[in-house]
Order: sequence, then structure tokens, then C-alpha cells
Amino acid sequence: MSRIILEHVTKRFGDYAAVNDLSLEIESGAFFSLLGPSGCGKTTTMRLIAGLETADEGRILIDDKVVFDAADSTVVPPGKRGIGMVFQNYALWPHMTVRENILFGLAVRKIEKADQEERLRRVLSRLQISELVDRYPSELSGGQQQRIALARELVTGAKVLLMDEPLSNLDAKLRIDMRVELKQLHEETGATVIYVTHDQIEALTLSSTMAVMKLGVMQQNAAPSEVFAKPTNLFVAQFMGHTPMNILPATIQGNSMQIPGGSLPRAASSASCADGSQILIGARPEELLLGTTQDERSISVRVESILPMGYDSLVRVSVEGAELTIAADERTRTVDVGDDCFVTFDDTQLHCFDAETHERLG
Amino acid sequence: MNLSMRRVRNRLSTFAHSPQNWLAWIFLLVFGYLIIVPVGNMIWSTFHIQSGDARRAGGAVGDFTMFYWERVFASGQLSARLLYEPLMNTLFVSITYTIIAMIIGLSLAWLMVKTDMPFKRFTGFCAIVPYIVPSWTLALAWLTVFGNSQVGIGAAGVVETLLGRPTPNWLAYGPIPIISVLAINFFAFAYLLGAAALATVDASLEEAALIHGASNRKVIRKITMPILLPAIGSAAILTFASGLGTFGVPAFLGLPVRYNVLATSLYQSAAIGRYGEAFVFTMVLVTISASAIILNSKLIGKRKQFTTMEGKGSRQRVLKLGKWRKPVGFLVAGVMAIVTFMPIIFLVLQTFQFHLGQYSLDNFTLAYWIGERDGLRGILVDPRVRAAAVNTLWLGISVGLGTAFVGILIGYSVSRNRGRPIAKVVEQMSFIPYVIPGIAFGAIFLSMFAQPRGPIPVLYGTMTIIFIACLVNRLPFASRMGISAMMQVGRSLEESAEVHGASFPRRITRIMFPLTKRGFMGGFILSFVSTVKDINLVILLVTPQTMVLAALTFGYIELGRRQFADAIGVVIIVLVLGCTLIAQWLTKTNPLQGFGGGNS
Amino acid sequence: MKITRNAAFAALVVSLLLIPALGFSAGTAEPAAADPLDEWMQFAEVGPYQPEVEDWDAIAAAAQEEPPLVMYSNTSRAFPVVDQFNEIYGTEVEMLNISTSELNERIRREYDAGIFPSGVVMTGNIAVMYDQLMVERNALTAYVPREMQAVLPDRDMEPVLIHRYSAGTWYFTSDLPDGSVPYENIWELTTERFRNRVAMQSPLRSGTTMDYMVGIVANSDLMEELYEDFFGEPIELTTPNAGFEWIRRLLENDLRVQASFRDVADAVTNSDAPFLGFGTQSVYRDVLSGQYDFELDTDINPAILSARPIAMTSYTESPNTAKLLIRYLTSQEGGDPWWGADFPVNPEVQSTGPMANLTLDSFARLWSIPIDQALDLGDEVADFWILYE
Repeated sequence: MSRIILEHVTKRFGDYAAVNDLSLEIESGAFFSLLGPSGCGKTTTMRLIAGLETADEGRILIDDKVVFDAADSTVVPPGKRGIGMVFQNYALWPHMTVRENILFGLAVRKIEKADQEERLRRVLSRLQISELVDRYPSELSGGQQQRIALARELVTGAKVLLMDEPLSNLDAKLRIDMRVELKQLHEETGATVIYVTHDQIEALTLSSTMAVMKLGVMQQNAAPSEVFAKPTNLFVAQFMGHTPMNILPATIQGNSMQIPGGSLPRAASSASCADGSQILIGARPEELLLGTTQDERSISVRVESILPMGYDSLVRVSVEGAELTIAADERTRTVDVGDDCFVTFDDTQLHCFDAETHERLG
Repeated sequence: MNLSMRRVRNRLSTFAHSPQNWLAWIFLLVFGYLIIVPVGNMIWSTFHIQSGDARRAGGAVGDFTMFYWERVFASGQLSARLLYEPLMNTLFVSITYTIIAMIIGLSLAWLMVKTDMPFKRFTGFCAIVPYIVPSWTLALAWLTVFGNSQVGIGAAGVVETLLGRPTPNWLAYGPIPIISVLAINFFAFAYLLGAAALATVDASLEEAALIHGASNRKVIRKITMPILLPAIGSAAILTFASGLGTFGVPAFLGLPVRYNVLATSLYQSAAIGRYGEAFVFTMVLVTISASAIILNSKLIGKRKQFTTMEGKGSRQRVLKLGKWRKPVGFLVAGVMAIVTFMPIIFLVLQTFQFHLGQYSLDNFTLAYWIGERDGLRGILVDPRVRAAAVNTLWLGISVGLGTAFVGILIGYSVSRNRGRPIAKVVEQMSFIPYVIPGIAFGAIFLSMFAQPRGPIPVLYGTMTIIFIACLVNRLPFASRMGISAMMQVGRSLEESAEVHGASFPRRITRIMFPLTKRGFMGGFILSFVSTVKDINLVILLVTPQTMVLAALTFGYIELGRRQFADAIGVVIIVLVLGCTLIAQWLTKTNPLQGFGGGNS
Repeated sequence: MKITRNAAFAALVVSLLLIPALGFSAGTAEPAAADPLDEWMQFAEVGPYQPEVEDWDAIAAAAQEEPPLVMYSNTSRAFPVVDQFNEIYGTEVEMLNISTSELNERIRREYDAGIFPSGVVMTGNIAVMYDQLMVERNALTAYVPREMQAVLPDRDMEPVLIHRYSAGTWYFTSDLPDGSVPYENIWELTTERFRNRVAMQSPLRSGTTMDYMVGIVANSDLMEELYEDFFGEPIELTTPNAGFEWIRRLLENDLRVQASFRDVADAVTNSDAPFLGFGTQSVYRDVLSGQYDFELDTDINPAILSARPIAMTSYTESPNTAKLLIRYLTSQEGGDPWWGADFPVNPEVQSTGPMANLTLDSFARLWSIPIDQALDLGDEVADFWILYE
């Protein structure tokens, strides 16, 4: 089947390693997302898999066939890797009609004419774009172009589909529609999809597995829920989520942790830490509670600003020089700017990180 | 099979599948052979006694000598006459005409692209004609208008006939006419480059400045101009370099009053067989051009001229001229029409004059077209002219196609290897011919391929050598055209075809070529035009079987039968204009706009 | 790493290419030891192997079997002759009309390259041709048909056959009532009366003009005498001799330097009198036909004798065609375009038309420059010209 394996793959541009010692296994039929800020090497990784770039070290296997091996300089050209690729700008050939664009790959593969027409018809009706067949790309809207680009890759029946930020040029509404569409298409075709994005919502909603990258190094490779719930380090923790995770310094003291503005019961994940050691604790804005009553899990803070966002508000508070952001339910919110109030932590959900290595504890 | 064997095999197979790589290597080898080696050979020649010089250089032919360099650089008064005066004249003429051509060309480009001036089609057509017309015909036309009876053959020009007294010498001959003619010849070059560059300035950039309260004038000065600066700079450099090696114009307008530029010094030395000196002059010319180009890249090289326009066109902000719209349109179109058609009209008139410069009915003759004079048959009834016309067409078309095709391939390998040293080397090597004057090029190629070289048989006397020489001479243009066309085609358009398994030839023919068609067409036509009208390059390479029209012309001029030359000049003008129009009609593209390449 | 490796490889490839390319121009490709020239002369039956009696029917028959021949000629008048020749003998001769200096250049390079596309050469400058093409290398071979050898004086066939002579002389429009020569002395051309009223081709471009200037310099004693005759005082030299002095003063008198001899003739025709041009007497034919309007000076100023040689290209594969063509060009019929303008060497040939009245003897003073002198003084005159032009 269409399993993809990367072994110790490194790609350098000059002295800069765009992808650094990357090992990865993508299960057949997976919807695998590569997530990270721009310049993290996610697009390069995809291009290495496609064969549009050649790695300097390592080995790449698609469907158990070696398509790249630095040891014996094997490089299988892109066209022979059995992949399809949707580019960020769609890369529709402007001088060809929709029909010609879609049939190009089939013609290259020397598929019979009748079969070509049948496949074209199927893919057009599946993507509901039959009426566009004789138009030129310049006569199409962004969403339509997106569908054509998709159709062009689907029509060949490729078992591996690479998508490079395919939705980034669409407006917000269309993007949500396409997400649903992509998920359905993935389920229908059963193809292995590798999806490059910097939008974590896309990655979280679409993927069966995802990897987060930073400066060419993979940070975490897991199911989306796990990446969200158990970020492997501070970078992933802060990168994931609507608003960055709140990070506070904490000092372990017996069964409690000293944090700015008070102390909390010691989190379970900090079990391995010695008494008196410094760690970082993290809590997502949604995991904090804003209230007027104090208990052992809360600290006293002052409200600095409020950003209403419909159902929720982002409330920014300060305590002893530190700042926290809390997502508060707008219907039950009672505090206002300048008020003194309390923030309550959920010690079962606290994320703990090593102060030096920023790695997750526990 | 062991690992290292496998590695070699896989490397080779990978190499074979990376056309951008092997193309770059092929270009490196071919350029090395067709550019570096001949230039090296030429430099070598300047240090060794050439045939016929044994007597004056004091030694045997082939001996090492500093004679040529000493003679040109360090022989007191003689060097002043040979080198320093022509050098100063060259710099003065070239810089002046470049400035004038840039001012006219860029103003016109701005009016055409950025304003709502009327008659753009007509004006645009007129503007390109003086560039298509061979520059030496413009020089001849200048003489028919401003020539005086005091100098040269003493044929009075139109102005003298009308005024009834001789036009002053400074108006008929010397730097002012040379500068004027070259400026007329080259402003279209600046116009084309400027218009292409202007078209890339998106309206939003200017609008952003307008919102900040900048005036129109300020927007031009502070936004449009700085963005265009690299294009303007390189247009100026190219204009400057193109004219450095022009021989025809200074020969007709300067030599009668002994106003020498380097190109005429070089030519005169070469024409009397003094190749040692001629090559030293060539080196001087090459050095000037090369310094100018290096200076250019130092000054504005840091800002990249190319903006990738992934399939999307830019929006133009058009300045409304209001009540000035019509007057400006009329004025510009009128001036362009005069500059364009007057020289051609006078040229045509002259082909009917039995004696030059006599404007009377009894001086009317058809001898130069369908009759006979001095044993020379009229050009329409001379089978040799007909044969030369066939050769010319063959050469023009094949060089045009070759230039466009090679240009696309160079553009492909350079743009796909961007950032790698080999891309830079290929690009720079392809630029070298720009700094070698055509006449020197011809001589270099003659010495290179008048004998078998490895697998290459003797090419002298064949159309092949003329073809190769013209092609190599056009390389700088080809590579500029190809690179800019390729840079504007998004890389992903090719990659998506590659992912589908399309082979390199298929990608070129189905994707890259259609997308760069307009650049290709523009390259083809401009190359065709310059090949058809070129004299300097081919004059040493032609044989009776491979005669071309322009070289025939030169023979007529040497014989002092300017009317035959005029007639052929008219034929060439008709030919190049006709071909331009036909190609335009065939491809439904405007080759002048297509000059910048692009697919917007 | 990759960068340096590529760059190094590129440098290596380019330098490897350069080595053989630089090597080749070190020496001219001399024919190998077996003396192929001698072999070719045997094959072509020229030089020492020229038969005592030439069988022209056999030569004509052999010519038809030979490959096409190209004649290089500095005169376009040969075009119709070549067509006529082909018609008579059924051969395929073509002609390339190029200037004398290009012709030399071309023959030289072709010989050095070991290719011989031309078969017959007609040119204008015997000195340079002899020096570069017959002494420096054996690119041309002299050929004189036997029957002409019997009747020609040595000077017309040594070291090479002269096709014809022309005389470099002055032509003038006169403001004098009887139309006579408007000057008495060659030095008069350097006076204010003739400022910007003398036209000639540059000696750098025209062999005849160069011969004339060499003649002026070689006859500096005479020039000195003529100076005293005219100005009534001895000359004060600012240049090596009176000949150079004259050239300098002529140039400084706003001499009009023209691109071609026709331009000179046009300038004289177009100007009002008095005006002078220098060129060959052959233009006289066009004067009589009414094309130009001026007179020839045969009496006052010295004229120069200019030889127009014709030779065979060494190693040509069409020697019979070449022989036939040379014989034809020197005949009454084949040389017809010239016999109305220039002076034939072949005593059997008659000048035609108006030229029948003009002979070499018509010129009161006719200089002839030996080849050695032309070569020795030529470079000096050329440099001098460049200096003062």
C-alpha cells in the first residue's frame, strides 16, 4: 500500500538545513498534515517527497519502493513516484482549458481516449464543475480554480496526494466548505494525503496524523488530539491553539508550586521534579476560570483589557509583572477593566515543561 | 553491482532526468567553445606578429611581439591619432546618444503605458520602425536631407537645395549627425525595455503613495522611477553597449570629415589587413563595454529586476491628460511619423536619381531597380541579388528561430538553477558577445572555423558558419529574453507537469513554450530583423554561394553606387517591416509587447 | 562543498578547451614534407611542369570535368565575362566581388586553413599580393599561357601575369576659358586656391592612391625641385623629405577623402570649377559617355602606373578551368569590359572605343613603383597618413 517513509532526511540550502535529520512514517491512507510557521521546512519536506527537490542525506520510500537514497544516489523522478500534487497557487496552465488541464496527466500516461473521457466526466461531476469544462483558468474564480487543481490530480487516481497550502488563497467561508469537501474526498479515494499548512485549524480538523516542524526539525508527530492535549514541548504548546498558551515560571515546594501571585497544588506531571526546582507551567486560556471567589487553586489578578469575540471574550490580566490571557464566557462575565478578581487553575490539566530544555514533563 | 557502481549509475540517471542541469553544462561547453576560445584566440593574436606585418614589426610571422600594443598605446602622436582621439570621440558620442535615446524612449514609454494619450497603435508602430531599419540607411537618409556640397561627394541635400546655400558642416557630418542618427536608431530600444518594465509596476504601488498625499509628479519621481531604476539602468547600458560597435553610421557621417570613433578605427585597420591593431582596438572596446556592464551590476544589481507574476497580470494606473489629450497625441504621433517615414521616403527617392542629389525629372531613372549601370544590373533583375535574398531569408528565419529557442532553453536552465554558481556562469558567458563588435566577431569566427576542429568540419563557405556566428552574436539578447520570459512563468506550472510524469520535451512543448510564446515571437522577430540588416558580422564570412543582401549592399557602397545600396536598403526595410506585420497577424500577438515575454 | 566542486570543474573544462585553441594559431599550416605543392604543380601542369605547347582543346575538355571554380575579383566588371565564359565552355565558374584587402585576407586564411575554394584571383594591389600570398606563403601560383610568354616583356609576367595596367592620374573641372588644366605645378594643390577642392581615396583603402603616395615620397628630389620652381625658394622641411611634406600640406589643405573612386568622380562632377580628383584613367570612359563631366590631366602632374595582376590559386582542383579562364580574360573578347577603360598587356589586344586614343604613352610623366619599394615605403606612408589625416 501507499505508505511513505522518510529516514534521516536532510536537505541543505547552502549552510542552512531546511530539513534536518527528519524521520517519519506515514501510514497508508492517512491524512497527514505538516504544520509549522513559515520557513520551518514543511514545504521543503513535501517537495522532497515529490522529488522536486533532491535531499542531501537519508532515504525516502513510497509504497515500500525506494524513491530516494543518498547512499547510492538513487533519485526517482517525480513523474515516476505515483503521486499527485496540488500547488498553493494551483499551477493551472493558463493556456489550456479546464478539460486540457485535467486530461494532461492522462495523456502523459497514455490512457485510452474513451477512458479519459469517462474519468473526466466522473471527476467533474464529483466535484460539481461540469459546466466549467471549456473555460480557461483566467475565467474561473479562486474556488473553482481550486477544484480544477484538485480534479487534475484526482483524475489520475494517484494513491499519494500532496497538497501545499491548497486553501490559503481562498476566503474564510470557502475555506470551511473546502475543508469538508477535502475530508470527504479523502475518505472516498482512500489515498494517502500529505497536507502542508500553517493553519492549525485545518490540520486539526482534517488530519489523522500530523507533524509540527520548526526550523527544519520535527517537534511532534502524533494524532491531532494528542498534539493539542499533550504538546511535546513549549514550542508546540504555544504554536497550537487559538491564542497562545499562558506560560508561567513555577518553583516546586513540597506539594505545592510557587507561581507569581500565589501557589497551586503540585501538578501530577511534575512528579519527577526535585524539591525547589524551577519549571514552566502552561495553561490554555480556555483552561482558566475567571471569578470573584478565591480558593486554593486561584490567584489574585487585575483586569487590564477585554477583547470581546462574540460568545467569548479574551480577558487580559496582570499579576506581579506576569500576564495571563483567559477566555471567558461573555454571558457569565461579571468583571470589567480595572477590577481585581481571581483566576482559577485546573491542576489536572496543567502542562509542565522543563525550564531549560522546554521539553514536556511527565 | 557494488555500491559505488550503483551510485555512478544512479547519478547519471538523475542527471539525465534534470534537464536544467545538463542544459547548463551543455551551454557551458558550447559557450566556452564559441565565445571563450575565440576571444582567447583574439587576445593571443595581439601578442604575435600577424601575416603581412613581419616587415614593420621586425620579426617573423608568429613571433611574440608587443608591437601592436606599443603602437596603439605608446607611440606618441600616432597613438593619439589611432587610439586616444577615437576613444574620446567614442565615449562622447555614445554617452550623448544614450542619454538622448533614453529620454525620448522612456518619455514615450511613459506616455504609451501610463497615460490615455490617443493614437497609441499608430505611434507604437512608428516608434519601432527606426529600430527595425538598418542604422546605416538612416545615416544615408540623413545625408540626403542635410548633406552639403562642401564635403564628401558634394551632393547637396534637400535642405541645401531648398535654402540655396550649403548646410554647415557640423550639421552634415561629424558628432552631431552621428549622435542624432544613433539616438533615432536606439530610442525604440529604450522605449521597448521601458514599456515592458513600466507594465510590471502594479497600480497599487502608486496608489499607496497617492493615498499618502503624494502628487502625481511625486509618485513618478519617488515610486515609479525607483522601481524602474534597474530596468532603466540596464536599458541605458544595453543602449550604450549596442552603439559602441556600430560601424555604418560613424563611417558615413564621420569619416568624410575624419571624425573617427573606435569602431571606424577598428574597421579601417581590419579592412587594410592590420588585424593585430584591429584586435587591440577590439580589446579596448570590449574593456569599455565590460566596465560599463560591471559598473551597472554594481550600482543596481542588488535590487532584483524580476518580479514573478504567477500567471496574474498587473493593473495599470492611467493618467488622464484631460484637455491635453488630443494635442499631446497629435504631437507625439506627428513627430514619430516624421522620424519614421521621412528617411524612408528620401531613401526611396534617391533610388530613382541617376546622379545623387539632383532633384529634377530628367535625372529620374529606373536603372537601379530594373535597368543597368556600369555593368551592374538593377537589383530586381539581377539573379545574384535574388540568390542573396533567398540566403538572407533562410539566415534570418533560422537565426530568429534559433535565438528564440536557445533563449528559452538558456532561460529555462538559468531560472531553474537560480542561486547556483553554474547559472551565473552560463548567464554571464552568454552575455560576453555583447561586448564584441560584429566585425571583430566575423574575423574571429573566420579564423576559428576556416579549418577542421575536432569533430567539426571546415565550416567556412557554408551558411552554417554564418548561422552560428549570428546566433552567438545574438546570444546576449536571446538569454535576456529567455530568462525574463522564464522568470515570469511560475515554476510550479512546470513542476505540476513534472509530477504528472511529463517528459522534458513534453514540458517544453506543451507547457513552457506556449506560456512563453509571446516572448518567443518577440525574440524571433527582433532577431530576424537584426540578422537581415546586419553587415558587420557577415561581411568577412560570406562567399558567392552564401551572399546575403546586406553584404551585397556594402559592396555597392564601396563601389560608390549608393543608389543600388539604397534600393537594397528599401527592400530590406520592406522585408523586415512586412515580416513583422505578418508574424503579428499570424500569432495575434503584438511582438513589441511580447518583447518582455510574459503571459499576462 | 558543491559550489566549489562545480566551479572547479567548469574552470577545468574551459581551460582544457582553451589549450588546443591557443595552440593552433602559433604557426601557419605549412604543407607536409612530401612537397605537395610540387605534386599539385605536376597535376595542374603549371610552373616547371607547364607543357611547351598547350593543347587548348584538351584543356577545355578537361575543364568541363572539373569541379565548379570560384574567381575572386576586386572588380565587378568581371560578372558578365564569367557568364559569357560559362556559356562558351560549359563550365561552372562563379565570381566573388570583394575589395582588394578582403581578398588578400581571405586567400591568406583559406590557405592557412588548407582549403582552396577559389581558383583564379584578379586583384588590384600587386605588392601586398606578392608579399603575403606568393612570398610569405605559396597561396597563389603564377600562370602565363605559353603563347603569351612568347610575346610579353618580362615586366608584364614577372613575378606574376599582369592582366592590364591603369594609370592613377588627376581629373579636373576647369575655370579656364579653354578648359585647360587649372594648375601648373603639383604644389599648387597645397595652396589656398585648392583648399577643400581636391578629392581622393585614402591610400589606406586604395592601392592606386597608395602607389601614388609612395611615388611622391620615392621621388622626393623631384618634389623638391618642383617646389622651388613654384614658390621660388628652397623648401623648409618639417617632415623627413619633400614628398612627405607635400602629403602633409595636401592633407592640411582640407583634402576630401572619399570612400570609393566613384565618390571622387561624383565630387568632381558635382563641384564648380576649379576642382581636382585623383583616380584611375578608366573613369574617362564614363566621361565620354556623359556620365561624368571633367577632364583628365595627362600633362602637368605625374601619373602612376598601376598593375592589375591575375593568378591561379595554388592547389585548386580546377586548374584547367583556371587556365582557360585566365586565357579568356586576357583575350580581346574576354577582357572586353576593360579594354574600353584600361591598358591591356596582351599586344594582340586592341583598346576599344574612346580608349583607342589614350595609351600609356599619352602620359607625360608616368611613375612605376617596383614591388620592393612599394613594400618598404608603404607602411611608412600609411603611418604618416594616419598621423596627419
